[in-house]
Amino acid sequence: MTRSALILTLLALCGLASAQAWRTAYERGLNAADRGEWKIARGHFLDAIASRGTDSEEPSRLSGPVTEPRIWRAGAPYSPNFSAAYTSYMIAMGVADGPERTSLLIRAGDELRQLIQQGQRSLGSAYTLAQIYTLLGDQESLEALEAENAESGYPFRVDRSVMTSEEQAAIESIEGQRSSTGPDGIEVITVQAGSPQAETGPQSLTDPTNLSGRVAPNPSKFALLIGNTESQLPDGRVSFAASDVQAMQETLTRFSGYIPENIDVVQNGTADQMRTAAQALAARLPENATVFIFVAGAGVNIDSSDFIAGVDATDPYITSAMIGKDELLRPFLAKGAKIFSFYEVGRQIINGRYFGQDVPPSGAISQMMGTMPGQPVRSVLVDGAERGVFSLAMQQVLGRFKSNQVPIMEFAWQVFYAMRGGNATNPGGGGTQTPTLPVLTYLSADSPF
Amino acid sequence: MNAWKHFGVGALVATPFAALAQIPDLVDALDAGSRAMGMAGASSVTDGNTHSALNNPAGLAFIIEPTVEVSARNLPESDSTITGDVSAPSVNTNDSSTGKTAITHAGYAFPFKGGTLGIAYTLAGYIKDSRSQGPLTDAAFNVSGYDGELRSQTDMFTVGYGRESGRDNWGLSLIYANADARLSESFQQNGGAFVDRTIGGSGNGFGAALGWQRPSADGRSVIGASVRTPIELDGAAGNVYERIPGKASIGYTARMDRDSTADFLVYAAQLDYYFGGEGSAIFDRDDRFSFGIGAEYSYHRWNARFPIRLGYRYLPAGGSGFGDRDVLTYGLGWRPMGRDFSIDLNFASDLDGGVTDTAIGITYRPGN
Repeated sequence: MTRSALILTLLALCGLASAQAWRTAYERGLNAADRGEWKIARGHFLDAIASRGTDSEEPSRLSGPVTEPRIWRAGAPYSPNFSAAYTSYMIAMGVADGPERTSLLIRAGDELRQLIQQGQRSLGSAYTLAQIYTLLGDQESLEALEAENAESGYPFRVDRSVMTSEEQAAIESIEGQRSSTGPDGIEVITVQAGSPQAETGPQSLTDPTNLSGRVAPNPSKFALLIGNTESQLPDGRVSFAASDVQAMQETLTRFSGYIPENIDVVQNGTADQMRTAAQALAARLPENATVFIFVAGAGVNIDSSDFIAGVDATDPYITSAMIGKDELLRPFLAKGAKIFSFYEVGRQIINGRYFGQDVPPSGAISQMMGTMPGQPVRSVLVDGAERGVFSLAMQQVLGRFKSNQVPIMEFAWQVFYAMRGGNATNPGGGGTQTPTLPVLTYLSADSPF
Repeated sequence: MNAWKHFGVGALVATPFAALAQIPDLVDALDAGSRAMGMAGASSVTDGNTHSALNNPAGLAFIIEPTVEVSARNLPESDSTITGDVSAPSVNTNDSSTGKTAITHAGYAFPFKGGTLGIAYTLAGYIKDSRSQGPLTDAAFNVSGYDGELRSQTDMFTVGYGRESGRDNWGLSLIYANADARLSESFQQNGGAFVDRTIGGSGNGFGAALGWQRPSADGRSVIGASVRTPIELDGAAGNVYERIPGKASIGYTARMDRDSTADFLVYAAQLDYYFGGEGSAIFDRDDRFSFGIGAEYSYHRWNARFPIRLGYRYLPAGGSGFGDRDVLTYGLGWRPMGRDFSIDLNFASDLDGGVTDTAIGITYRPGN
């Protein structure tokens, strides 16, 4: 080896340092978020910010030969600040109610607020901020945010890969409702009918029986209602489950065109009983039927799959006494049915997982959760009887529709507002419980049930 | 009698060839058929492919997935007539031909320890001049039946490593060179001996290359520089080709995107300096500059990219007996979208009346 070659070797070894640190950190952050490791993910996003500090909705060009242009992640936005704020929100969701959680939510809210004030008003930021204000019970800020959203829209694009699949789906559902262009060509999400501003009619929302008449039955509509009041799991008891199912049965028959013979009810069922009921109902389905599924009870998410606990389940990590959500739905999918499922199930976070994280990848399915991740389901007293906030709102809205063709997304929005509202004559949740918008798989926003 | 005894290598050193010689000078500057060949090699120091292991190891840093490249091209040959005295003949090149086709590059690069490791074989220099005689003497003897061949082939085996460091790419290669350089001739001294001799042979040596690149922040331009050390050849080759010249290069490549389509234009310029090759008996190399300019238009249609290339290169002769090279280059590539391979076809036409060289290169990325 010549002396000059040795000199060159030494020169080459000088000053080597890792490059493109932002990309490595950001991708590590996404991987950690995908595993539900929110604290680790936030650390990586903060590292990314240290290397490249500003969120950008433009494609990021990677280093490469000039003759071979390379675009990072197929042109996805670079959103470390949004992602760091979102992970802060998810960290809060994993903490029990209390000062620590409040502090984390406030931090996340401040970070998102800062992004919006910098002109980066995105649907992801607005949606997450709305969830935070709801959890904090900050109605004033929530209303102000909604007013801003209505006026300005969401012109900025963020990378939503860090968000849970459920929330991504919810945001995509919101995007599907864009209906008008506001000033300066900015798209504005129009609040659907059913918002507090759009309410019409004098009917009391507390008692659907005030509304007279039954809706014409539709023989192609079926329903499976599961209400498991009892549970041997820690915090698994839903004391109002059985009564909610009874009330739901009545509502579907009176106001939504379901034939009583087409509604099967399971109360305090084991996994085998739920399984048998689903199979028996599916056996009666014609092709392309509509199936309404309501579950009130305990549920868990294990290894990315949702399970509904039977009343004999004693261990939240053992699935032998549970039925998988996909197993429950499978018999109906096999008959080509459209499934509209609603879950009044507590979503406590266990080892970073919670019920409802499992989004069905196939089949025509709508999945709506009665509460947000990390939250239990709650009840209110109506005429001395304990009623689930979620099911009560559903019944109220179905009573208002009085139709055998209820569009899912409009229905969901009305349930959302019904639960957030609440006064002396309309005991909604008062903001103590917020549902998630339906995640739609191969269904459009106006698919009816 | 061994006429070789009457003949010393020193005599060959004195004035090996007269100024009429026109052997295309590819002793140390053969383009092994990279995509840059279609652009007159003007982007070779700023490119990122397996050829970078030799041209500029910093370019290996651009390779982010396992990549295999193979190039093949013709190896041009010439025919010359020598006159005067065999010890210091005048050489007049009569004709050149495309010669045989051979694999001139095979390389494999893969991500390694935060950078990219590249291993490559490159044919870096080649001449083959077949000789016949005109009026020719060997000292006091007239010569008849002269049959000679001057050839040189330089193979370089390279292991290089390149990686990003901050805004820059840096790279280092270790080079093992094997050369076969010789003059073979046989003739009859009229009234004297039959002479059959070969001067030179095989030899090898080691060298290194250091490279640097700086892409612009928007990725639309790159400036690059590299230096390769001269390589001392031992063995019999050292008798005629003592030292492979080093090479220093600097170049700039930039891209202009079209707003309305995915097409883009790339233009490049590169300056090379060959140095440190003096002192060889036959293949004595002068220090010299060479430059190339080129452009490539990347045309997007039918779910593929079709780069169309054009360039010009000037390479002055590196020593007595060799001719300058004025070369017009052009080429075409095919890069189907979403596929794991691409193909390049390039040409180099000698504007001084020589042959048109042809090269084909195939790139394969098994990870796609």
